[in-house]
Amino acid sequence: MKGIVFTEFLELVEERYGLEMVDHLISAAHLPSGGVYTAVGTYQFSEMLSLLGELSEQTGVSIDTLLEVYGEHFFGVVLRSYPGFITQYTDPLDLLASIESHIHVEVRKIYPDAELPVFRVLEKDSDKLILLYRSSRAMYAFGKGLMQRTLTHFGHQAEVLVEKIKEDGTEVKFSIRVYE
Amino acid sequence: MSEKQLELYERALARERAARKEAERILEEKSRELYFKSEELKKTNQKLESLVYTANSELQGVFGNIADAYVMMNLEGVPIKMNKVAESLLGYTLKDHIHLYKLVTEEDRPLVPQGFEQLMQKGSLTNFEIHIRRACGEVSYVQINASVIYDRDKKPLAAQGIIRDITSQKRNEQQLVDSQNRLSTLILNLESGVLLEDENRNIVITNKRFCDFFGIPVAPELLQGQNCEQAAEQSKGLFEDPDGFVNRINELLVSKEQVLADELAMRDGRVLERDFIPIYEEGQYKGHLWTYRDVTLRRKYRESIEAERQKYSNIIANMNLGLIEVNNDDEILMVNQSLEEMSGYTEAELLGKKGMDILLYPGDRDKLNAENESRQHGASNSYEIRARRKNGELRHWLISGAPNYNINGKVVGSIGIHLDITDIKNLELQKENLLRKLEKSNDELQEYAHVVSHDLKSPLRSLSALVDWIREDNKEQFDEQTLTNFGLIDQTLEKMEQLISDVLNYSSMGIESSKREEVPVKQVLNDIKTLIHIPEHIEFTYSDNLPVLMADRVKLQQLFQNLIGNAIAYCDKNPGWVRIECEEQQKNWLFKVSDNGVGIAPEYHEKVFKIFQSLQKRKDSTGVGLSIVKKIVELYNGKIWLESTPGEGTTFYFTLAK
Repeated sequence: MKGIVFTEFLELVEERYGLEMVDHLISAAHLPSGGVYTAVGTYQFSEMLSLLGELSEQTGVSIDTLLEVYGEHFFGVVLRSYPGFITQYTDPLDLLASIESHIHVEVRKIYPDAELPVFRVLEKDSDKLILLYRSSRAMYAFGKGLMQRTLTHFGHQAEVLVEKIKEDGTEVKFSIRVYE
Repeated sequence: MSEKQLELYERALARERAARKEAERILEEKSRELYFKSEELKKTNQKLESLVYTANSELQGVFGNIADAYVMMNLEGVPIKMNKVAESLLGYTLKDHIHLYKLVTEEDRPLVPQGFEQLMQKGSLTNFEIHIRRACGEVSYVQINASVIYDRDKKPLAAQGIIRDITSQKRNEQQLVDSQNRLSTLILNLESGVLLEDENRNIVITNKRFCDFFGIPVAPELLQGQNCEQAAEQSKGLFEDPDGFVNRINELLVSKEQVLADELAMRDGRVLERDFIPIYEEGQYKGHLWTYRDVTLRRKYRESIEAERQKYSNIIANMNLGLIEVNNDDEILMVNQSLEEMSGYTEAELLGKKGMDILLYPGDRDKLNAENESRQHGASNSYEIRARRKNGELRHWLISGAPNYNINGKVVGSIGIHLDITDIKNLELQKENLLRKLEKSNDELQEYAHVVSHDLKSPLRSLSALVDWIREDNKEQFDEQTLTNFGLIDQTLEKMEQLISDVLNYSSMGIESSKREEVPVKQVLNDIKTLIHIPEHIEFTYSDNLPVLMADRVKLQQLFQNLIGNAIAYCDKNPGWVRIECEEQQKNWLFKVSDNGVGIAPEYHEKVFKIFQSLQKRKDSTGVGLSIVKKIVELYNGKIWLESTPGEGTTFYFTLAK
């Protein structure tokens, strides 16, 4: 997993719960990397799972909610560091529909070894988009947070419905409906 | 800051430092990776550059050696590159800075903008054909295939193309088209109706004649491509046997074998002849050709020939002349009924036999051989032979033979027409005998006249001598009266002798003397002058143009002497004259003997030429003279007549054949 996911996560934890919580998570999680992360590096996914599990335990917030919040936070990272991804779209559904064909292509230019989830467009309308998410990481909640922030960024009232196709969350259907 | 907090920050700082170092390490590694990558890329680039160069020079070589003319031009149409072929085709080099568009001939110039537009829009131009004027002034028809060369921004930079001289190709194509047109025209105007169908029975070509035959009211060109499956069914009504027509066509289409000269009777009385010719190409059936000809006339012609033949056969069978046709070996091929009657043989007995063996009297064999020989050389001839009838009777036949030719003009035999002339022949023999008898009796008669006149003359002479003696002896005793009577006796005796001489002359005049010599008429006249007495008061003249005649001198003299003598004897004028003139005509000499004597009344103009006719009873006229004259003139195929005014004179005209 790319280092940026870890660095931004720890920054969010520090922002919400303080440096002490960050220090605790790292020491409690017994990480192979020792919690030393750089955005350009690559680390094991299990470290993210350990961090998330420890945080959930410390705060009593479910992992899915944590991931959703982190997803919402990550939209800010994208907007700050890669505004081009966002600004070239006028409609959030167009943006979301092109994750696979545009955004992931650009991501691979910077991180050629990134392991990215699959977002397949099942249905698209002017006010409706159905996406099929597939990833061994089962981080659909992170995706949901990202989507929700994207929709609000464009000033739309919207509803993101998550439907698990596989119980373990490795395959999930997102149904996005926009209200004017 | 508490100890715990400090430791916390130290740990965080240590993590950050380690993260920084980790990041630096990653970056260094990436940078090294990048270096190697760029080195690799450089090498690849070089390789590619050299590849491009090679490819370029190869291309240049290709364009340089290409058999077609290669030209690269800028967008104004000025060449930038040309290969040798292009230079020799156009006759210009790059140095000439020619403008390619300007090479296009005046007539084709309007095509240039179209071509250019197409090139610019599509980026290429294919098979663009145009006439150009080469440097030498010659006009060539060229085909251009070109494409636009773009820079990196897809902006057109130049155009390159291949120019091919297709002048001779076009000419050949044109010739092909011309000859196709000629063929088509030929087919369209053929006397025969032509219908060419492909293997699916679609019309490939047909002509006006065909449409006429089948009453199709459209131009033949419009029928091309039409299907003929139903055509026979539609036009069967035109034929006497509609179903037969349809069935036969289906039969031919199934058998696909060539059939020539099928005859079709049409309802309107015409007769068509049809050929069916299937067309195979390398054993593959490709369609078939129908040809229809109107043979009505030919058919009628044939029928009328048949009728003529029948007519002539009837004539031959029924004519009274015997007919035999033989081959070159003289074997009889055909005889008619008359010949059967003439010979007494039947046709069956004669056919295949040699005429020479069965019909000919053996004595005439050589004669017939000679005649046959001459007929072999193409001569028609007529000859008589003696034939033997079946009953042995000998007959005379007149044969008129003509060689018989086959269509190649070779003599294949002869046809002889035979006429039995035995009866005529017998008559002829009788006539000949009669003639001989007549001649003999004529001779006897002449001899008799000679003898008689001679025998008559001698007693006459004795009489004359006796009278002389009596007169001499009694000269003294006889008185004047008696002496005068004696003189009269003398005169009568003389006249008697003259009469006998004239009769003798007349009778011998019939025998034409074979003696013919050149006789100058002038000499004859001079002789006559000395022979006869011309009184002083009569002037005798003749013209200068008198001819020299081929004749018996004595007869000629008798002729003129008689006429001149008459003129003098019957002259009652003082002065009198006799004139002889001559005029040359185409076949004759016309002589005129004129005088100013007593003249002859018109009623005697014919009579004078009859024997013993004398107009005036003169003591010296025997009345024989003019009849002798007439006889002589007729002997020389001439005529004699006269013109006269009584009291004024007479002109005798006579002609003598040259």
